Amino acid sequence: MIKKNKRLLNLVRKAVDASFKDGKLQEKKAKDLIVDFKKLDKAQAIFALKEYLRGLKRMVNKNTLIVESAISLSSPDLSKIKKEISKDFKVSQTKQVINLTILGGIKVKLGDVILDNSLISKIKEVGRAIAS
Amino acid sequence: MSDLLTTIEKEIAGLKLKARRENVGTIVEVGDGIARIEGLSDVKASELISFPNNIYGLALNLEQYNVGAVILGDFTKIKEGDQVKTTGQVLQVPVGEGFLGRVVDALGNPIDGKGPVKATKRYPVEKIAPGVIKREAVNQPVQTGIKAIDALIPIGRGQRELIIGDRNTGKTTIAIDTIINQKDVFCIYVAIGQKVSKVAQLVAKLEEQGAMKHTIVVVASASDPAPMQYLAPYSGCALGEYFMDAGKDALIIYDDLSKHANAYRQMSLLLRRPSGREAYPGDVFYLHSRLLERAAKLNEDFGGGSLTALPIIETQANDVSAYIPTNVISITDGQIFLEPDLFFAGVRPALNVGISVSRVGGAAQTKAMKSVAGRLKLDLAQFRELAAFAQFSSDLDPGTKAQIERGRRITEILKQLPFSPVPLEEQVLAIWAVSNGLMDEVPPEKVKEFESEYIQYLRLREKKLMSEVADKKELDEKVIKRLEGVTKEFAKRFNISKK
Repeated sequence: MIKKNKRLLNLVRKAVDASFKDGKLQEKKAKDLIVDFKKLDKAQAIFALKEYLRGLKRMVNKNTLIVESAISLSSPDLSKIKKEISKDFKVSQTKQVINLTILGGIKVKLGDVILDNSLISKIKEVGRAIAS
Repeated sequence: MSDLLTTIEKEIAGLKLKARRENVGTIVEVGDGIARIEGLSDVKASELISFPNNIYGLALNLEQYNVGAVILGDFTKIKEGDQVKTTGQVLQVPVGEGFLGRVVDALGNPIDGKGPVKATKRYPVEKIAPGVIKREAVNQPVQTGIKAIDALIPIGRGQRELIIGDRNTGKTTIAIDTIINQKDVFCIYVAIGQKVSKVAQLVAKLEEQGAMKHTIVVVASASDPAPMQYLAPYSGCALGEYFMDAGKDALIIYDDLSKHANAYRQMSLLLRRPSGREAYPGDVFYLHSRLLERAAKLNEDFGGGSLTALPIIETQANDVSAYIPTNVISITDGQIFLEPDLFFAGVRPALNVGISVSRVGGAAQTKAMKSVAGRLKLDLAQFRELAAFAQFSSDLDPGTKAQIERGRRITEILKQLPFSPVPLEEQVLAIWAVSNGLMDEVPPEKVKEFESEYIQYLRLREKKLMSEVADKKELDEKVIKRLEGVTKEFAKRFNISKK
């Protein structure tokens, strides 16, 4: 098991922050940093690269807009959704996911925030209201 | 049927269905009742979070890139990659009169197989204790029915009195006797980390004595996860606060807080919190102080209710200077020490009256008991000082011998069988008789017999006197004069019949 190195961890976290500009991943900078990390001794390099990759995934997810819908949405619709969300959040890329279980409406996920306007959640809410 | 449909239609029409905003996270690690979650950026400390399969948890560790949460349920149903959501709520438990007579778990779910409980309200598990303005001084007694406690270490309504001793010294028995003796006080017994069989026996005993109707039992047994054992005392306290806020008196017993501290230590170590003395986390004092501060006597402006707490601590080899015992001793308003040496010497309850104390004292005693307890305390204190000379009693002056003999009889009077609480008037009269030398001619081994026959005699021949003492709760001159005559007559008859 690789021992945690707090100083190295802090360095890696700073590297992750530095790899992004306006929410977008700077690929050249990321590649340079990976090369630098590989120069460390084996154990530290493995730890640093693992944490760096984790950090990159975290940051990418934070700024990736995932739109779930029951049917495929057109590009203008997706752009409209992105524009609305970008008013309050930083969005670097948009992905569309078809999920038949939501029945209708859309479910928008950005980082750890979900805006749920799906039909299935409304049906469940009605069910809860009737049950109470 | 059409009415029902109309109601449902109205309900649906009245609903405003908007898009919901949720804060979610993903589990990256789970095991031993703890989950590490990435995301949940909006979560607050001690917020309730929702796991899959209807399981809930508490967010306790808010770190930079992940959240450490304890799982309040079966953690084997949760796996890495599962999504969790914040609920925006703190943990609450259902409370109400419907819980009286029931056995529930730390989340308020009934576990006695008697069906669901109708709750009146929901109370937060963690709550700030009543402030200074809301409180008033403790002025009413909690009659435990145990002579040694009611006379020498009196407990008041709103007090915190610690019961401390080694294993198998009678700590739980004192607590149960107290519950059995209550009439207008609602009782909550919180069992933390105990064997389920022991709790079942306790519940059966309470039912047998008719005490379950005013008692709620909260159980987080040894087989329950550490987070449930951690929560149980707070849930029990919430149940007690419901009665206190309603202007009623409640009594809560935490059995025991040593196991509670162990469960908290386990949780904190798994959450990788820094450990301190004896591997306990640094806030183990706060764990108990915030719990016990919630026991209070409220003033009339806030309903006049009270919550009395009897925490129990188990010591190892009589070591009261260990970490957790000293913590709780410094928080409570007094302690009752139980010693194994006294227990095995036949002194049961095995109270060490010399070092037990109640910081409320006489303010929590009736006039009748106060009038007899002062003399009793003095006689016992003198006996303790001279106890070492008892083995040489043939070589001592008559005064010393008399004190030693009096002390022996007092020790016998204070012995009591378990689950046999004694009413106030019987306690007062028995203590009055022994303190006034009316048992000096009775051999120590016959003192219990004397006491029992004496009380029976008074119940049969002096009903009016007994009820006068029970109602007025004081011994006036008229009563004392009557008692002197009656007791001397009884003592003469008893001594003649036993010769």
